[in-house]
Amino acid sequence: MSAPRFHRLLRAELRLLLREPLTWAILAMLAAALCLGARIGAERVAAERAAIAAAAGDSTRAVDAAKAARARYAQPGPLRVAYWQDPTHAFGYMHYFLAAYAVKPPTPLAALAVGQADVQPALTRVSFGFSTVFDDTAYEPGSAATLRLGPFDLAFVLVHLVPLAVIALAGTRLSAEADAGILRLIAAQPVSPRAVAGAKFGAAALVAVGAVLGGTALALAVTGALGPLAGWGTTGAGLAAALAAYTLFWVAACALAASLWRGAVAALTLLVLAWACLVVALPAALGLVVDGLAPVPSRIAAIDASREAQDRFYTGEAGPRIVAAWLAARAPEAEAKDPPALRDAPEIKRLARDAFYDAALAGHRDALQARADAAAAWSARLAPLSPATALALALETAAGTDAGRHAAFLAAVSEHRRRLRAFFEPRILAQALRPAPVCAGCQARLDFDAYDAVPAFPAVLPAEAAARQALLGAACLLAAALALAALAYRRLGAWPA
Amino acid sequence: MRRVAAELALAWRDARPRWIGAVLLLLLGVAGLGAWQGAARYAAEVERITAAERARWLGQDAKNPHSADHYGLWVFRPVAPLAVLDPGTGPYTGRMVRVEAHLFNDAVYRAVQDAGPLTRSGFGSVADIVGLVVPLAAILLGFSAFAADRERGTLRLALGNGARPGRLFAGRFAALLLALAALVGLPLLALGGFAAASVGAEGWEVGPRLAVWTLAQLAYAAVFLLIALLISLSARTARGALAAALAVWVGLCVVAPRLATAGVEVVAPAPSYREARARIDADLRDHRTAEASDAQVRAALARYGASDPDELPVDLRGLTMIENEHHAYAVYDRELGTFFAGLAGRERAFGWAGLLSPRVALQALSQTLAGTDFAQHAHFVWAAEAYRRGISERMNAEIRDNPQRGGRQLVAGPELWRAIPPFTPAPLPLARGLADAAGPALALALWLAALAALSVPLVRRLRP
Repeated sequence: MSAPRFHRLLRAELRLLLREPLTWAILAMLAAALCLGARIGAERVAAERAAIAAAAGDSTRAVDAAKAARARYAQPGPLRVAYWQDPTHAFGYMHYFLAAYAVKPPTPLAALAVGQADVQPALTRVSFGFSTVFDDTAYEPGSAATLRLGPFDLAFVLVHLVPLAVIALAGTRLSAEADAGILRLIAAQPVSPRAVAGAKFGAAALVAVGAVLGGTALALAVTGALGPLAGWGTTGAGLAAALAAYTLFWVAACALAASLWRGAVAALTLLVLAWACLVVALPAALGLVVDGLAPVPSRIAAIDASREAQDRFYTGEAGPRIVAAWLAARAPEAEAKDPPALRDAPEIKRLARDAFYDAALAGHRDALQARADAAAAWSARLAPLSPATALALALETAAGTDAGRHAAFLAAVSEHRRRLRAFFEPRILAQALRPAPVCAGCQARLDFDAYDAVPAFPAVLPAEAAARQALLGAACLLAAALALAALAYRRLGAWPA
Repeated sequence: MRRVAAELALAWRDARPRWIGAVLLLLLGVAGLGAWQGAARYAAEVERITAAERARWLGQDAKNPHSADHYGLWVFRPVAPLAVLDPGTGPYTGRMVRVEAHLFNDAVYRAVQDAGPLTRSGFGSVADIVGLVVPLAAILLGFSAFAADRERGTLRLALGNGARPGRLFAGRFAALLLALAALVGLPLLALGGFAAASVGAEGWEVGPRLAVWTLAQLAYAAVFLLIALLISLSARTARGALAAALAVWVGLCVVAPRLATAGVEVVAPAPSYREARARIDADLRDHRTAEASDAQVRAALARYGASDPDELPVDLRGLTMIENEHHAYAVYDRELGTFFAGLAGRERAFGWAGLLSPRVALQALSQTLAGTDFAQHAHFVWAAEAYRRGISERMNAEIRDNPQRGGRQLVAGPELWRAIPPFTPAPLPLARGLADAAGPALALALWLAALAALSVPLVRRLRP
């Protein structure tokens, strides 16, 4: 068949499709679902931004409170200020005043997918206590029922509902004509089944791809869910391509189902079951594979190790020996001072103890970090095996709510904790070695005021990873769509007997 | 009964129930045994570390009681035996609590934070399989009940021979329900019984729990069996009935539950834990300043008419610590009490959201009956907090009642450590679970009643 004839056929099919009320009903429902998903995503991102702003406000408040207290205590007076109440005591400030947060700021496309964001926090207060065996201890308890059922976000609409909309739109093309007996009439014309199927499914693909891409863009625009996209153009284009390829995959699946010539209902049934397998069952099976490939180390074993370390420190003479060794390593000049008094200083004991705990728990922490990295890496490797997980991962990575980003965030939190400790430790030691008051009779020590020099957490936006995953997802989905289309094309070589 | 037996024999002659049964058995078996393995491992770990923690607590060196209070211990949420069937809120809530002086710590380390990113597709547990696959099984068993007979023309014969549509419908429904009960109920009972026998079921009232839980799952299956039969009553072809029933399955089991989460967020918005914690921190911070401590000391001295702490009949440090702790308890009770009540209200709202989808109703009902609902978690958290307060009270009282003069520190020993009993959390009784389950149970019952009511006109209008 010549190209102009095919185009005429395609236009005719397009007109037919757009004249059907069912088409508009499906598109309206899809648009409503997209808007709802985008709105829920936008609200989540707004809440996340508000929480991050509140954390920044808390950090500022802590610094202001410390400065105000410093001014208050910088004069002689009868008030007794303990070290843990004294923001001019480096150790007191570090443990009882400092409000340092590590944040994972939302990306401009964060509204696309909740991903892991509902179970992994976007910010965490950096803590130095030994109660927190791991750096991912803090979280925000919420409604377990909501977490269990899952959010109605854009990713859910795009990954779960778009295929259903495509099936409703194109699932009975050709097979409905066969059921109604019209196929005999069509077959009697000088037209090949491939041309007819091409026109029918081509029209459905045009409508579906246009509706999905246009609807998503419109939903994001209407709800104001998008952030500034500078530097995210490649990701956006990659996602649009992935989304289009995902839609085409399901249109191709509809064509393949029609090519079985078993009638409309059988085609629909087959497509719904294929959807259940590819969108629900296969991701779950891949999840089990990931859990098998990257087994979770025992949290309880780590807690046990932390308690054993605590027990060793506090039982018998081990504690003083550990403190002495730590002091000798960190401050050899302490030997010239009054070592017993220094070793009994609460801040020195605490720093030595925390260093001892860190060393005792390093293996457990490393194992958990390695597991988080491995789980994220295996998930990324296995995701292309299912079109649904390939698209979901691309959306989550663009939204910055994927497991890989969280694993990197946890590693950055650990590093930041070490950085803060490295900032405070020499200052605490210096104060311990030179306990002479700055101001005679003053209520506080007054020789620590480096509040504004405390290192801030270096938050990052994973633009490159998002672009890479979007392009990879688009390529995988396009390949899958082409493979299915090729299969359908091959089967549609002849009219059914 | 003869008609039911005949329908059952007819259904069994078909290969479909056997295939469905085999697939269900495989899925339930794999999910159940995987969950059992995880639960047994966790229970063994908890038993081992609980004993180790107790030994560590009792084996502490002689020290100041407040140091012992800081030394503290970890307590662990016990495994509900039926968590093997329905983990409920378990994976989404913390399982272990650090008990220590001053702090109402969160229950931490949720299973979900260690789960791989692909495992949250809602297909990982026995309850998930019941929620998603059992409706499919019911649909596959029931879609052809009338539509296939209509297609073959045998429905015309049956009605022509005087078979009453109502009896025909009731017989087929009863036979298929019995088949479904055998395919779903028996494996669930077997898995639950095995879990109860191997994981440890003391205090859980496992027998009645398992029976009621299984009944709830069967009621849920019956909803979808009824849906399939009702569609089959009016569909022209079996394939048409199947397509329509599958569309209903997608709507009720996949789309509606997510819509329910959006709806509940509007009706009962989640309270903010972060804000509650911020309010707690602000309150306690103001109470911790040097000025506040000074005012507290002066008030205590004035109360006893003393000018120096050494003149007091009690230890000043112990006294102020008790006062500070009581202040913190009040703040925690106010803020976290409100927060937990808000979350409990939200969970109740999900029970009523079951009117939107039977799957939502089943989720709320199932976890409550299995003893894995939010109420059980909150009960554990507050029990751990009560235990923490018990330790702090005892340690602080020891300091307060043994005043030390001249800056000396009280040193206590094993006798005091032994005065603290081990932490033995008991689950909420089944009666409480049954009361909490009233909302979702009613929602599920309403689904059944509505479908049964709808069947009356459809059966009456049954045409060959």
